[in-house]
Amino acid sequence: MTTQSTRAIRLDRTTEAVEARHFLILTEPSGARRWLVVGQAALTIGRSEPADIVVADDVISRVHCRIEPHGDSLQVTDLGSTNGTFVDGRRIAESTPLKSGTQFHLGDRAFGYERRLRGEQEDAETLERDLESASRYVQMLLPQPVGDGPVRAAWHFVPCARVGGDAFGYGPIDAGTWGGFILDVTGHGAAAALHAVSILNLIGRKALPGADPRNPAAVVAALNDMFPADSAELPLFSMWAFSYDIAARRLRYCSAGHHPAILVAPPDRQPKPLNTANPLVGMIAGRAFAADEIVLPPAATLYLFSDGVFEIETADNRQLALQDFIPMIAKGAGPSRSEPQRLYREVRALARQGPLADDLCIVTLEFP
Amino acid sequence: MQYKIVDGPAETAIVVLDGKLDYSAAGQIEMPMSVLAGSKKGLIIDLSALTFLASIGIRHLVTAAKAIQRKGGRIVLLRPTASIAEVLATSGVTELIPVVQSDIEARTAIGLAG
Repeated sequence: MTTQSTRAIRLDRTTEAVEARHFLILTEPSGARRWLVVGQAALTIGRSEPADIVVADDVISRVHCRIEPHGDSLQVTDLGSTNGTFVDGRRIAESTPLKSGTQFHLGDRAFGYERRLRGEQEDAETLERDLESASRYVQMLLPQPVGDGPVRAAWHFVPCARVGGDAFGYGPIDAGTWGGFILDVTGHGAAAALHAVSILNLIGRKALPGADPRNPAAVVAALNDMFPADSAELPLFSMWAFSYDIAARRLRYCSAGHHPAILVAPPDRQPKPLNTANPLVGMIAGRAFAADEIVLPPAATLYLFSDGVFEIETADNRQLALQDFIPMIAKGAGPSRSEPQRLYREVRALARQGPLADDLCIVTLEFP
Repeated sequence: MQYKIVDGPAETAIVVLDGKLDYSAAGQIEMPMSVLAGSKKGLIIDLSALTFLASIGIRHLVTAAKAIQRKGGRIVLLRPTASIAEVLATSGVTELIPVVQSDIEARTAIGLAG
């Protein structure tokens, strides 16, 4: 069977509804998850037939590993694969039992194992499809890259499986001004995505009462008034917002609970952190927000990114931080539309196998 | 991540957080923190063994702080490591919750005699 045919594998509701079954959950590169039922027979996973479960991915060997029942659970055995089989982040050398809830990886493709009743599995699949829809909706609202004009923009966005709350926007405010922002809603799931969508729509439609869109501190303050996080259900969010006076080349910016954006500009092209000391949006009612400004020289590049870019765990279990990411920016060869993808590849090469724990979002803005 | 709750005198408690407070660990502390914020007048959150603080963890700290402060109680963060202290400063949590470096300061901050 192939991953494309997995939805055809169904159990008979009348006989199996109350019996716990083994489920393998395959995470697609897009973050979507597919559930596969495992019966009593051993199954192999590989890149092509004769593997029982075919996952067409170069990181996976032709016949990569075997999955088979082991007592009340499953066990996995690597069959001499090139890129290895990892359980809980560690490469396995012999047959390894899987507990329900365990993650394992073939190369960087992630699988989960769950022992569930059929009804539970159907509920979980429905929830995951809803999260996929929420993720797609957020992505539909993101702007297109911009290849010409006073500001050129490119981005790379990888939503995590649970849907984080990252979002961003940019574009002309009026004939003489450009603006943009990145935001990160605390938490994951549909609530974080809904919150991000609300904010995207408010800013995109310039619908913030009393806030001049050319004043990033006023925009953030208006959002702070509109979204007070007075209960656990109303999430906080961090934000880095800017406006750019094209004629004066003046960048005004306001960061709120967000790590710095990084400016790289001639003559030295040393990464320069840009931030202001403001709390997360929604944390403190009625607070004024500070902004700062800087005049940009020609050929400057501004990097906006979410914390999912640097809050990653490496293959050797180190926790990275912002100061580990900034040197990757410094290594850049200069403005390029593929710069966000280059940074993503660098981060991905350092991160441990498997899907990232949070949304990953990188936006580069060039000021020629 | 592991956590430990030690009840103190006069409706206070110390919460010790140990390890990585990431998305999956945040679910473990949400309910206990909410119960403590609702039932105690003073909370010390000992961060000395916390190695990672995700934004969802910040949200739980802020929610607990608002709940306890609304009813006139006090909350304090004790001895964060340098990396956690930076996260607290960047997010602005330090505007809402005081951060101290010693047990005596922490006890004083929640209204207990040092």
